[in-house]
Amino acid sequence: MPDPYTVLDVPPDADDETIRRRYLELIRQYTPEHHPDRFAAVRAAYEKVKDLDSRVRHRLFEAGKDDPIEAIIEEAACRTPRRRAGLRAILAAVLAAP
Amino acid sequence: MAELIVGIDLGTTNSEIAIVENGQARVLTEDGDPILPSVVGLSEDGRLLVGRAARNQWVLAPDRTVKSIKRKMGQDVKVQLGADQFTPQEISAMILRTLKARAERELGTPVVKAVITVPAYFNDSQRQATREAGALAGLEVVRILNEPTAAALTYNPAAGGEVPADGAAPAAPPAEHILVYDLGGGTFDVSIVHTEGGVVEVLASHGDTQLGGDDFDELLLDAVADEFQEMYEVDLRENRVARARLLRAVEEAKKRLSDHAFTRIEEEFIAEKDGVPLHLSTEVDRADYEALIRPLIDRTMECVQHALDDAKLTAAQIDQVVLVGGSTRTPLIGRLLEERLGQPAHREVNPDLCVALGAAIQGAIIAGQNVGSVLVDITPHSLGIKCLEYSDELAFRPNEYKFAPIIRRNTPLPASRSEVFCTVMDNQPTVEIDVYQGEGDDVRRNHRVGRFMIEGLARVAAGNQLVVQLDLTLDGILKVSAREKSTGLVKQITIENALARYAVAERAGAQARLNRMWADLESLLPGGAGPDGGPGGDPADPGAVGLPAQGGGLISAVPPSVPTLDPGPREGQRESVQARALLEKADRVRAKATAEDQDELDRLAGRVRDALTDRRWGDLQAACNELSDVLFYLEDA
Repeated sequence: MPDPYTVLDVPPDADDETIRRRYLELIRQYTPEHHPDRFAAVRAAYEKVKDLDSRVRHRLFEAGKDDPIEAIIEEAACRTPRRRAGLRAILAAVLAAP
Repeated sequence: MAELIVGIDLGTTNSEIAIVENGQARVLTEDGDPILPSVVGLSEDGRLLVGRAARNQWVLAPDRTVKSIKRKMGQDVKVQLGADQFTPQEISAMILRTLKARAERELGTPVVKAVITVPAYFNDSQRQATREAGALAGLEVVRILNEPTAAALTYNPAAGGEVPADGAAPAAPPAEHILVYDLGGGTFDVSIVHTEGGVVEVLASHGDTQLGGDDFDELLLDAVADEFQEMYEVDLRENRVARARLLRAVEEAKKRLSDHAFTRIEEEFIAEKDGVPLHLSTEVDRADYEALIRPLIDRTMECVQHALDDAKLTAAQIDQVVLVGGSTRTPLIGRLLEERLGQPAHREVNPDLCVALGAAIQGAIIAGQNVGSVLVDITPHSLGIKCLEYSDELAFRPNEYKFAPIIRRNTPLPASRSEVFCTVMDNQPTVEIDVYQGEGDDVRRNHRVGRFMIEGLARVAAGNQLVVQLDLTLDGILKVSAREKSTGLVKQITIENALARYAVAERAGAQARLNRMWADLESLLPGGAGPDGGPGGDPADPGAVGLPAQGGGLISAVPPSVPTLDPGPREGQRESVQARALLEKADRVRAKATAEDQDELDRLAGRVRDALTDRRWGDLQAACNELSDVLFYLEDA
């Protein structure tokens, strides 16, 4: 599974707006009729990172499914956004819940 | 010049054909009329009639006329037309062929490729049937497009403007959520699309393929017929011709009620009781009519809510409401939609034509013309397979009919998804992959699209993993594959073939029959080239343009071999109906008349028939009056 940030060619800390703009640009370039495979790849990548919820899911369950939990916690605790700053907030909420 | 791909709206009531020229979409007309009624008939002498002529004769000869065939698409049925039976695909092919001929006549070039629209909620076999109709009409259907999506393309604010060739964003029009409410003659669809920077994304579609303006007509017909029956104890629905006349009358009344608060329905000589002719004359007011159709409109409003829920939007987030389809002229619909969505609906683009225009735009996109739009469409139905489900309540007997969706509805196309399933028995050698389409949790409520067996699995304990993958193309063609994870054993099918309604030989037969009918039609027309191509010859083949047009310039290279269709009794419609009723009555009275009176009746009836055949409406009126006088005298005697 190719890295969605690479497919879309956006930095890992890109926000919703940047990702959306880039997605529209690529869709116009790689139309479903003329570039079906590339189009499908762009679509799939966009679905994985289009909003915070998708990005966290992608980070935890796809890109990060083999990561040790310490690495994820370390990343969440990291002050500079390495992959996603939002991961920290989500994990904090998850840990605070029960 | 880019390749020509026409756009066709193959509707329940009306059909249209459109093209994109110089970046502008337009509907092709015939005698200034863009609309081809979706009616196919055989004239008295067995000639094929398509369009207005067929629609006009429907009242006189309902048994030789087929309308609303779209409602039967995808069903395994045949319809009677004259002496023969036809599949819905064949009837639709006649309509498509007429449109194709219209385009070829106007453009002077052969038309072979088309985008044909279908209701978004059409299922796989309904789409397949539409594809087959295209093939029978000699068209390569490059795309089956959803109607509301097509309509949305014409409302795309980015389209039509100048677009930089590198695909960069045009001067950014605002992003918008558009709700398209499409109520046609036989089907209802609602789609929610998002347009931004020239990309039109469909977010959700919902609908009902068996709900449309035809149902409004039936409800009104029943109400009027019930009233008539109460007054005269005669059921107008029992006689085919009377029913056809009544249906046409209520159709007209329905249309008038869009602009007027009440209207009258009048049909003379519609029935007879104890030898006395009965006339229908009643008044319908809009409030009563709206009360009749309200339950149907409410059903469409439920669909609207479903679509909003699926798109995860609230009514307030919709920026534009667009009405499509002739039936949306009913004021009640605009009112209820405004109530629900809090804003008036748009109909800047003619609701009858915008689907064909959108189809043409999509055709241009496929042909590689830069029209400033890219369409991201979705599948409106979930696709998945049948599996076993062990639940607590059914501990002893598993549920054998569990539907496991793999591609969920509203997934953008093309889509590719896979799921892992397990065998349930030790040493299980085969697994049946049974593919369904629908939203029911139980496959029996869904629509089966195909199935196959994967055999020769490894002899291992239960729990052998199989990866089932579904690939759905832009056209809704589905490829299903099943792979045994441990061995890599793969088996796959393409549903397109699995579902084809025709065997190859059968299709060739149907094609030949259509060609024959088309050739017959052609040979009877003045100036027609005749069936020189024989069955199988394409009547619109520009190769058939043998002689140069007399004194013609270079521009007038219009293929003369394209048939023009019988325009039918357009203006004499009402007179013809009355004349038919009179002739029928004359036949009955004749049996009891003296020889002298019989001769007189024959003479007058002959004059009526001649005037009717020659379409001399003035003479027809005079002849009818005379015949009517004599009948009156004889009846009393």
